[in-house]
Amino acid sequence: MAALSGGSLSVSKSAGSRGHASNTVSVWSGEATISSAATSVQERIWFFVVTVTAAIQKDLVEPMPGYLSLHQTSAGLVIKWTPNQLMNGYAESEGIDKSVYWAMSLQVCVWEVVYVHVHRSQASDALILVGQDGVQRPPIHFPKASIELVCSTMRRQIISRAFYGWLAYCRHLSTVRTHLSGLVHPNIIPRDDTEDGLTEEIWRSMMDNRGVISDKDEVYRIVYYSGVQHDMRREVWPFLLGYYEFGSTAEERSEQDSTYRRQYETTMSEWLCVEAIVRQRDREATAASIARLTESSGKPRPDENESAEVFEDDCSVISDNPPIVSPEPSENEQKKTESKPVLSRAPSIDEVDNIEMDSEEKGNDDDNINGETETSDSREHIDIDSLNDIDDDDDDEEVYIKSVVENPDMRRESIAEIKRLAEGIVQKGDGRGLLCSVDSANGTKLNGNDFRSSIDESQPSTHQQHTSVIITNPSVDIAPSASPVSGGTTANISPARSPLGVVREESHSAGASFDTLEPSDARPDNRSNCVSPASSNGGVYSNELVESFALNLHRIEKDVQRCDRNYPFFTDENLDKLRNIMCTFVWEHLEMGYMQGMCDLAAPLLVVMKEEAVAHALFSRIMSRARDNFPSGQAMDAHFADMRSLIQILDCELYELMHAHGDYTHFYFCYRWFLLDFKRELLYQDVFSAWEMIWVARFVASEHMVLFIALALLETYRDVILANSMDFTDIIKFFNEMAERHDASAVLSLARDLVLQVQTLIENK
Amino acid sequence: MAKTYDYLFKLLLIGDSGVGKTSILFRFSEDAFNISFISTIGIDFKIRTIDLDGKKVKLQIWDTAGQERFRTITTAYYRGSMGIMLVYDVTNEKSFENIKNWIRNIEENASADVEKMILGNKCDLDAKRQVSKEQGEKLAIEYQIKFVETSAKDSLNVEYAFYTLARDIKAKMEKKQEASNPPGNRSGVHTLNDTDRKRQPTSWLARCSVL
Repeated sequence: MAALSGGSLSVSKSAGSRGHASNTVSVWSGEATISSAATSVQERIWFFVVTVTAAIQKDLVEPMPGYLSLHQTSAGLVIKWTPNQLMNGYAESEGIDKSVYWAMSLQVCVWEVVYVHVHRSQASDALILVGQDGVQRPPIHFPKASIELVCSTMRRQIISRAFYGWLAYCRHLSTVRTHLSGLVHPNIIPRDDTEDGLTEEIWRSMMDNRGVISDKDEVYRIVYYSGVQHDMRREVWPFLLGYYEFGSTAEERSEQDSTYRRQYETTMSEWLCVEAIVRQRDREATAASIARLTESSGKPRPDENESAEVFEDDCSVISDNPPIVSPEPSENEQKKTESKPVLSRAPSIDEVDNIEMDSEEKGNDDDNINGETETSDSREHIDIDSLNDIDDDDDDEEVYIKSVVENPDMRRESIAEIKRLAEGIVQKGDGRGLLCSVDSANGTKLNGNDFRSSIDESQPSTHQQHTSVIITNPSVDIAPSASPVSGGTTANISPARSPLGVVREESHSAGASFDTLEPSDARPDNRSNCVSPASSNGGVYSNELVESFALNLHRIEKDVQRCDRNYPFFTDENLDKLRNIMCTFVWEHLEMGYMQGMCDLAAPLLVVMKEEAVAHALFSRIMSRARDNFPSGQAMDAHFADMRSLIQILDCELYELMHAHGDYTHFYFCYRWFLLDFKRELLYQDVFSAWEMIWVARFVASEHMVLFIALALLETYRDVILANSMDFTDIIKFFNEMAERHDASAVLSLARDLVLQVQTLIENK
Repeated sequence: MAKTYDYLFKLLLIGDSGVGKTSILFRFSEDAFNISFISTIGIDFKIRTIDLDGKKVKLQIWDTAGQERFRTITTAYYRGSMGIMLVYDVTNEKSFENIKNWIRNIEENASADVEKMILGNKCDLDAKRQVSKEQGEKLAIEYQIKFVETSAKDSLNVEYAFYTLARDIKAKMEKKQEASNPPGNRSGVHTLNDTDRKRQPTSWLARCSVL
């Protein structure tokens, strides 16, 4: 409420013989907000004149004292006159029936007044308001000679009120503008008129003979205004995100890629270890809960007589964890475990060096997946007698080890097993290490149980083979694995109802290792000798680590299965890649963990880059900024606040509507926009355009391009929003239904215009 | 001007991520099921108007992101809700264990008299079941909340669940109205009396899976 300023004026009693009560005219001006019981609308009282009499009824000889006030309502200015008796604080107000007085009160809309008559008489001056319809309102009597004073005071006060209001508004706008100036770059970069955006021709022309591109500003400019031609995205995007540096040579970049790839694969092999443990635990947990279930429902437990068999190996390595094999109760053709389990051991470092991996260049794939695909011919494992003893240095033995097993889980677990059992674990950073580029699909099938999915039908897709390091124990029956895919007959599938926790039937899969099955009373820690993320010289995984990763793994898998399944690119194989990227990133940022939405951010990168390692690199760069948008960070609130300011300055009508409907949470319709950089709002092709614009905008026009795109979306539909007087719920519904139906290039173009608008506004400050 | 509905009920679906909230909603509002559903980010809602005892009841059903990280955002929508469906996945024991946490979440953030219901979803996946129906019932009894097993995929009990929840809300609402009217003014408003309540158990324990 604004401060009241007022003056008072006393007028002496009139000399008239009618015996008017002496009237004190006090003039107040102030802003007060009242809620009138009658109208239940908030009004602002601009003016308040006390004790002015009015003659309401013709037959009333004496004018009644009352209060005259000027109100600002949403409709306009209103003059009101209210008898004293109705005012609060009137002494006798208690026992009176007020309705009579209410009937006498006056209410005149200023805009309806056409004439104002002033009658001057000896006793008083009277003001008569005449409306359009010719109706004369009852005269309002002012004490003699006060009317001019009243009017001039009123005028002065109204003007000053208006002025201060305007001044405050300007100051407010100025504050907002200053705040907004932080949202855009002050320099306006001129338009680019390249129609097709950054084409191969232009790109090559900017490149010297060593593949160096130096004019990054020009690149940014072109991309900001016209985008990147789709075929060039794969080459250009790493620059836009800062993975490749401008000024680097082609050779440098190639080397950078190799290094990165190696690093990626090494990291992957680390978490694959843990994953194997997690799988094991999951199997046990599931089996246990199913056992409970079947028990409680009185079903006979299958194969209760079978006991866990413990096999020990001569290898001293495994002293900690004697492998336990529990034979499979059979629903399928699995044999009972009469065969001994395969103990696979990791080779020593030297051996590892000798392991030849299928070259990454041997891509045979039609979709140009480099780095991770292999030919799909299976090879038998080589029965390596000589590798019985882990300490043997079979240096020159070239060990071609290729997993025949098509189930990636098997492969991974083999690798994990290897790692676990080996003494000298491969050093991290060596690069070669125990590499398991597990790229292929069939990800939905899980030994034992489908933890990942409610997708029941796993597709036996064509998958690629990868090198994994598996060495078979000569005692094992080596047989080519049958198809491990759905309905497969091999050990890959363990019936869900095995009561004792399930282990793969190794004998059926050549070269497969088996997992060390934890006894149910297993030590909670020190489960493996795998390389821990902390040390590169081998270590143990703590239980917390395993649990933490397990939690994230489950979350990742739930989301990966559901990511963009309608988009043809996402075959099982590519979903597996996505999973790998996600797991690797989360492994590197375990404290952050996986959050829903991260898959959406990674998916388009994978689609464009095709290759896992580089997609991971770009994803990491995106996440360094995007992580603040997630609930753990503060950025989202800042975005909403910025949106409010932007709308207030650029579209006050829309602002009024939103303001009228309430509070800040109403910007939650933008939540998904900002979290995923509009990935769910646009078709894939448009997502690419939007993203590259957002990335380069940081250098060209604004580091907050997302705000302007959001604003552009609002502006595009402002007519609909205003016409329907949409509230929060309506807006959410509207935009959710409009998802993937926007005219993206129009929206992006408008976004650029809005940036320009703000830049201009600030320039003209 | 004819209104298109007599009542508007705001409902909310909560539960761990991946249990099937969106699928349940989709089944109810569009009568469709799509295995390739995308994970819910932020918040969304769907509308369906049903007929309850001659009244048109518009159900505005909000769908939330399940991951715990997003809980602070989703709890903003608890207060306005009149009915909340707590969903777990019968093939995922963890999601069932978390129902307690979700209930606590409701107690902290929703209005005191919000109607609740527990749904054990994916009951079609009997082979992968980790939570028995008995367990679900036991939990429901413990918290005095209605319970039903559903399958969005096979369209089992989804309609039933929403109709029941809506009916309960309506009954409660009408009871309140009745309470504020002077006695003798009852104009045939139907309330759930004791005999009705006794009849309830058999219906909401209806078998889902046929063994």
